[in-house]
Amino acid sequence: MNLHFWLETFNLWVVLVPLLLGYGVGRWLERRHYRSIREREQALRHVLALSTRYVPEGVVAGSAQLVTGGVVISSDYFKTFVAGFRKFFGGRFRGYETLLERARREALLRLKAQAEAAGSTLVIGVRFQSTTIAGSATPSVEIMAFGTALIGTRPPTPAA
Amino acid sequence: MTPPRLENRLPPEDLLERDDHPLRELAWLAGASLALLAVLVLVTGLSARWLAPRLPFKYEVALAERVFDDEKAVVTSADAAAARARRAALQALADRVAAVMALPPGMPVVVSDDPSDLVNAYATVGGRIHVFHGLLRKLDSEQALAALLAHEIAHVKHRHVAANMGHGLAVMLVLSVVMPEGAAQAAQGLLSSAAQLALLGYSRDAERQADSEALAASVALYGHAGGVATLFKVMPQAEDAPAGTAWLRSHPDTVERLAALRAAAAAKGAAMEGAVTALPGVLKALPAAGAPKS
Repeated sequence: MNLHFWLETFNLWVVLVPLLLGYGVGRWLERRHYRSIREREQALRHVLALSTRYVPEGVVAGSAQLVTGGVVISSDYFKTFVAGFRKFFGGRFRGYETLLERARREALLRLKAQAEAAGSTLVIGVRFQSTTIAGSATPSVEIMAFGTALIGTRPPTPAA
Repeated sequence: MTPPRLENRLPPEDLLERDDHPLRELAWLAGASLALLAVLVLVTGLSARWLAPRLPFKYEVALAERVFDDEKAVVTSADAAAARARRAALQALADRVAAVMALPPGMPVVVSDDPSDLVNAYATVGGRIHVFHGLLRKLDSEQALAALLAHEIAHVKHRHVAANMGHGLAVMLVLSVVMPEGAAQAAQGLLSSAAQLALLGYSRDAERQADSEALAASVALYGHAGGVATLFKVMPQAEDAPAGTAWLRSHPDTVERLAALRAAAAAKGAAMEGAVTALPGVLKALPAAGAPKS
């Protein structure tokens, strides 16, 4: 393995090394994120988020407050590389599906955490919004969840 | 009326664990892409190989004029005179050989020599034939040189050069679309050194065709196949040829070629040996090996 060999194959390594790095690190981070999401979802089970526009029947609220939860999530080199092939062949792209699933769940968790901090256990009218914030080289996306947290509801924890 | 029960359920499991392994997905996609590219390269290359020889020869000539005719003149005037005489002698012999080879009209053959020490010769676009001094030094008779020229002229006559070049350019074109930077440079380099392209080598069938044309021309000119036999013995074997020369990769090996020659000559009723003419003096008095020319 002399210097000449590395120079000759330089273009290959420029692709291969970030690819392996992106795969290894990306997958490790993704696993860790999923673990953390599950834990927090369990911990915040008592806060409900509904998409209904009206206060559910049988619930009386003292006050209401806007709560939001935003997250910016970025693709890794590996996912983007595979996505490049998907441009040709189409089909379901699982790499981005997990990426966006994590983003939505994280955004909802942050919304629930904000609601809990405001003393609410019921958020209604929850909506999601997404914004692309980086170019197509390594795409990033912002997912934001927002809703109306009802404070001082009776009964305090409706059902659940 | 009882109010509806409100609840949020936890997702059953994470998408990450539910799906296909990403590496397998990549393997499939990359494999399919490479297969597609291979098919594309093959189809485009073979189409170009089919098409190029069907284009009029005058386009080849025009390309050759653009590529070769800006060659620098020889440095000193004494050298220049010798070089002119050398070229004239080569050209005269090539014209005699071409005359018996029934070239289609509008297909001129232009021979030049190259001071390189390589034991080789090649035909390139526009009917240009280059003979290296290394080979001239080893050829001892006019018959052998005529056989060599006939072999190269046959590559021109049957448009092997055009087919090879068309193939090479088409493949480069496809690759430059897929991988713009590197391949575009490669294609540009290929065009500017079209001569090198001929060194890529022809198919074995093309070589056999050229060999049989060389035999026919030799017999027509001299009445025997001695020149062709000498030529085959002179051409380097795989072991002692410099790496990267086309002959060792594309030409059938010497023993096989000689056997085929004997069979073909016997079929024609031509002798394997006969009268030998010495090469003209200008072709024997070559400048010192490896002398820089330009």
